[in-house]
Amino acid sequence: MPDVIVTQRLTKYYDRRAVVDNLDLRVPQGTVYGLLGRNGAGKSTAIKMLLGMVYPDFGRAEVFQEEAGRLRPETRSRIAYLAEGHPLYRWMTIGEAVRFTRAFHPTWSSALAEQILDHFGLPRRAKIKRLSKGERAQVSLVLAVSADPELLILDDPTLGLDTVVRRDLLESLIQIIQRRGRTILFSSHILGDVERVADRIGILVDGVLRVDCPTDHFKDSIRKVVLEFAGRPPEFPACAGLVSNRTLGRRLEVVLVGYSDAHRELAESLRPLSIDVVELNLEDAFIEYTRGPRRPLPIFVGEQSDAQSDGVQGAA
Amino acid sequence: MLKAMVFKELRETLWIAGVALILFLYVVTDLTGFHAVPFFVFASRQSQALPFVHDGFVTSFAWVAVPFALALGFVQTAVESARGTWLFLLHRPVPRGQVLAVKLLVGGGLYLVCAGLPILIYAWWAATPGAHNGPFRWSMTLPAWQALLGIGGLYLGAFLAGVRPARWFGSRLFPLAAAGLLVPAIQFCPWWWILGLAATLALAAWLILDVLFVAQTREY
Repeated sequence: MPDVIVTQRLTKYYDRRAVVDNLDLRVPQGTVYGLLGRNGAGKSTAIKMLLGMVYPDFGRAEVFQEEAGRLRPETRSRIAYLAEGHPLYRWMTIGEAVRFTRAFHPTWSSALAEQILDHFGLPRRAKIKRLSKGERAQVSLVLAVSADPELLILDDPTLGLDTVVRRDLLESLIQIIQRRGRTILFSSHILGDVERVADRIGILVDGVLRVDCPTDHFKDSIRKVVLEFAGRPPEFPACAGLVSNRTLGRRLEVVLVGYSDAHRELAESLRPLSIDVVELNLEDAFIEYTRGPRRPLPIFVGEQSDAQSDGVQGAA
Repeated sequence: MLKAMVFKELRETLWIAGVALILFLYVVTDLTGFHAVPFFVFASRQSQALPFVHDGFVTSFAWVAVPFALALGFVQTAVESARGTWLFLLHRPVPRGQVLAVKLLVGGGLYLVCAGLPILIYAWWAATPGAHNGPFRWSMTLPAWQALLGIGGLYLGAFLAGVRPARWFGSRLFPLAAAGLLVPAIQFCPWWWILGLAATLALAAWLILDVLFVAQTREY
């Protein structure tokens, strides 16, 4: 399968801070790729660079073997893009929005548009400004999909939607994916959304792509190792796959990717009283990966016991 | 697709043009003595005053044309930024320059038609024998056309200010401020139809090229 999206050392700075840092990404044709990250992790900036809306300071991005900053209109017509917040013209009715978008796409399928509008129960004469966030998201999806694109790029499509609407939108998305076998790149900060849809995930932490693997592989390979000590725990030695390392009283919690015998030997070399290896679900794994250094809440500082007076240390 | 883009631009700006047209017609009816409404805001023409020369038409015209031009330029650009719709619009499979060119053509065309119409109506009235006491020559309308073209520069300045990204609102308005200084200066240029017109066209060309350059290179 050829790669539809390729980025090499893609970097973008805002105010001297790298919001996207040396991003190397490959999305093969037919893949549903979930780009995860907390708010401000660089997901939207990375996506905008793929569409030529933001220019990289370093590195390159290609979509359909074309430089992202100079996409030809013909190439752009093969890509559907749902921007964050579903920006649409508020004065338009749904019907007008459909007619406006249709005018740009010779491959537009009116039958499909009607079908999805009916599926969502969206009245053609309703003004966009009168729609709820969820309905606007649904209209955006109709406009994106009916042009029969080969690549769908969705920037946090479920942002701000309630659970029911989110689930409904994602299920529609799954149906659309199954129906056509398109390539989809979608970003989210909600792990459950990605888990349901994506067959490969990438996790951006402070602009750096820390994970890029099949979703199942990520779930299978991440472990939390809990080490109990008689006194103050030592630091866990730096090693490949170390995600976080934090001390909680006499306990050392280490999160590792690709847990192996080498990791176990490292843990044993610290001579703990006990070693527990805990499997993490995707949600926990994502949280471990993306949260920064954890600090004690100021309101609890005075309530810490002697045993916990060491406090908590930041994650790796 | 061109039709769709033109329709969209017209749909978003016609209300401004409508308001401006009403105000322009008010100025015209006021000066021609038809008094469409029973109150006066702009100059009221004295019976002996020559149309376009001593009747304050150009000043009254400018009072409507300047806000009209500014509103038009900002609505076409700043509203897209405020609502985040640039991302939707610029992802359409059309060259970015073409999207901006359509906006400029529709906005510029709307400005010229709406602001040109009252000049033509007033001139037609002034040219009608017996309508007023003074003589009339078409050359008397030149200051009005001069104002129409000059204020067009403010439209382009507002458009550029709306497209141009800036950290601070004040610096964003820089091109508008520059146009605001240059347009009146050009109005007082000697041999206007040679030097002034050339300067006006040069200013317009600079602003249009800058709009296209900024739109092509800025980030959204």
